[in-house]
Parts: sequence; structure tokens; C-alpha cells
Amino acid sequence: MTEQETPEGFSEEEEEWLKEQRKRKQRRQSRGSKRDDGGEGSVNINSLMDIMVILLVFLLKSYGEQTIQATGQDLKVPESATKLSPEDMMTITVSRSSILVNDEKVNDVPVDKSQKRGGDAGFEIIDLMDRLNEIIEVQKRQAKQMGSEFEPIVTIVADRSIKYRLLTEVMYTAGQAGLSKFKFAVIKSERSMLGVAGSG
Amino acid sequence: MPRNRDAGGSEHEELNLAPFMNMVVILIPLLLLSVVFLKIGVVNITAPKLSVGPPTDQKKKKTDEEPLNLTVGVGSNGFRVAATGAVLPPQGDCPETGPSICLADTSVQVGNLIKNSRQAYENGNEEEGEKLLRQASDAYDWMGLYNKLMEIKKEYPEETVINVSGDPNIPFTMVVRVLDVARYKLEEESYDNMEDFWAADAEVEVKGGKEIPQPLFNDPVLAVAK
Repeated sequence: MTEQETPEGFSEEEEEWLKEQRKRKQRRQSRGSKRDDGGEGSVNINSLMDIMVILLVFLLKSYGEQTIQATGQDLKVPESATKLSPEDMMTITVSRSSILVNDEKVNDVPVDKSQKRGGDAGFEIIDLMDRLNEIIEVQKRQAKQMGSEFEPIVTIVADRSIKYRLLTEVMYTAGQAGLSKFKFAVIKSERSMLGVAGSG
Repeated sequence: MPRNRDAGGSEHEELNLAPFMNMVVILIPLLLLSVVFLKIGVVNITAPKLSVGPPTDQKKKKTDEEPLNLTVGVGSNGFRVAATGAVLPPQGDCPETGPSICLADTSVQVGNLIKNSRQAYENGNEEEGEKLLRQASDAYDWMGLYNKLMEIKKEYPEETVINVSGDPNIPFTMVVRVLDVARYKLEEESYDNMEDFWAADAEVEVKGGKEIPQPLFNDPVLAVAK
């Protein structure tokens, strides 16, 4: 009753103002409802977030696992069906262009004969020997302070195409420096993959 | 009106995930790029004999038998197998003057393949180099090597040491492959089909609920070819 009566009682100006107010109110309401829709329905981020968080954890885990840098420029280690996993230890990397100890370059490949004790026929690579001696010295001292014994193990990360001769030179040098246990880093592969892929 | 304001306020108090999302969205591609999807493993090996480092802890065998001293040498025309000082004569259809176990496909020039592969690597063509290397590796008679090793193993069941050597030019991958072939006994004693050979799994013995693969010659020693 009152609603119907009021317009009659107002002047034209007042009437227009009222209409405007109603329009505004409507607009506000419609805007408000739109906002509500947007929040609830259109994009549900929760599931996406779940995936992302799981992915993040998974990736962070695998990021920390990699103890040995086994692929890179001029370096691709051979494949093998081994079951053993690498441990964190000293590495000698032999790529197609350089020899590195703990990821620090010490020699070029191929090794010049002036770099070897005894010239071309020699096995000992002088720079590599010096570096290994330094590192072993430090590790021995550390081991002594820790009350443990120095373990003469080294992982050899070598490119699949390097010459056998170079490999023996590196291992001989390491042997001379006092390292006696060796591990070759390889890419783990299924046995069935070793034979079939190339035959096709 | 006051009610409306309250309702609006509580909506805003919801956790603002935008910054966190930004971080996650940036972190994930970054980590995905850095992840290496290759699983790295290791192969144990004993030092070359000529090293003068402290002796490695090889178990001394207290048998009266002379050590077998099994040696497999990888050359560009096949494997030389030697034991107790004697070199195994060429087997099967292999040429008289060649190695003990010749190539599976004698028409392949492994030496040339290796040379070309290294050339390709040097020119920066890694794909081609890898392909040629693979071809070279496939030309070897790995199955024949396994069959021979099994024969030897039958006569010397206790022996696990194998000396591996190679010609100076042989790629490292061949040596690792020899170790792979020599590591475990397979389901059958000998194979006459390459596909069956590579598809075979290691022979296992179940001990305390664990499957333990049976070793063939799993104690490799690297030696240097003269």
C-alpha cells in the first residue's frame, strides 16, 4: 500500500531520483551476484593447486638426488643393466674434451704427450696426478679429524666413446695416487634395451 | 547494509593464494628443466693390474687349482678369450687367424665405424656419432661371448674374476657391455637367437624371500692391452 502511494506523493524530480536509486541498487545486486559466481564456479584452483604442490615436492626430491653429473656437453656415459646406485664421492670425469676432478677441469682431451710422464707411451697424467694428490691429502686429514679411515674410492664418469687407452691412463694415474677402488658411472637401462634398439 | 558489509569482509579473509601460485608456477618449469630423467648407476671394477696402489681386497682363494685368470680382450674384430695362459682358438665359423669369438656379422668394419663415429663427434654431430657407435657395438657377438663364458663357468664354478682388456682404440662403452654380459647367469645356459638372449633375465635364486641373481663372472678387473 505505502509503495503504491509514495510515487504519487513525490514531485517529478524526486521521482526521477528514486528511479535512479532503484537502478543503482539493481546494478549493485547484479554485480554482486556476478562476483559470487566468479568465486564459486568458474575456476576452481584447489585441484590445480593440489597437482602443483605434489609436482613441486616430487621435483624437489629428484633435484636433490642427483649426486653425479653424468650427462652434459661432450659427455654421455654408457648404458648398463647394473642395479647399483651411485654414492656421493670423489669423481673423475672424462669427457670428449677434458678431464675433470670433482667437476673442476685439470686436463684437455686428447692428453698431449708433454702432459704425460714418459711421453707418448707413458700412462701417468701429470696434472691429474697433482690434483688427485692434493684432494686425497685434504680428505685424509679430514678423515683423521673425524676419526674415520680414508676410503680410496673414486667414481669414474667417462663418455661412452673415449678410447680404452685414455681410460687406463686415467685409472693408472688414480691408482698411483692411492685410489684403488673404482666405480664406473653408467645410465641405468633395461637389459632388453641393450640389444634390440640398434638392430632395427 | 551492515550485514552486507560483514559478509563481504569474511569473503576477503579467505587465504590469498595468488602469490603462492605465482611462486609454484615459476618453480615448476624451472625444476622440470633441471631434472635429468636418466637414472644413474655404477659398475664396480678393480684397478688395472699395473697400478701400485694398496692392493684391493680380492678374496684369496685357497684352492689348489691354479687361478683361472680368465681374460677377455676386446678388439676391433672380436673378442680374444684366454685362460690359464692359453688363448682360446677361433670358435665356430670364425677365420683361423682371428680372435676367439669373431663378430656376429663379419662384413661389418668395426674399426671404420668407430673411426667415423669419433669423426662425427668431433664435428659436433652427436646423433650420428652415437648411431655409428651403436652399430659398432651391435656387430659384436655378445651372445657368443656369453655362451663361451657359461661353458667356462661350468668347469670353474667358484671362479668369479674376469680380466677385461681392450685395444687402445676401443670405445669405453664396449668394455662396459662386456661387464654387463659377464655379470649374471641368464635363464638358459646358451642361446642361439640374439633376441632371446637380450630379452632374457638373470637367473635368480630365492633366498629369504629375496631374489638373488646368480653371478657369472661379476668381479671384473681392468687390464691393459700390450
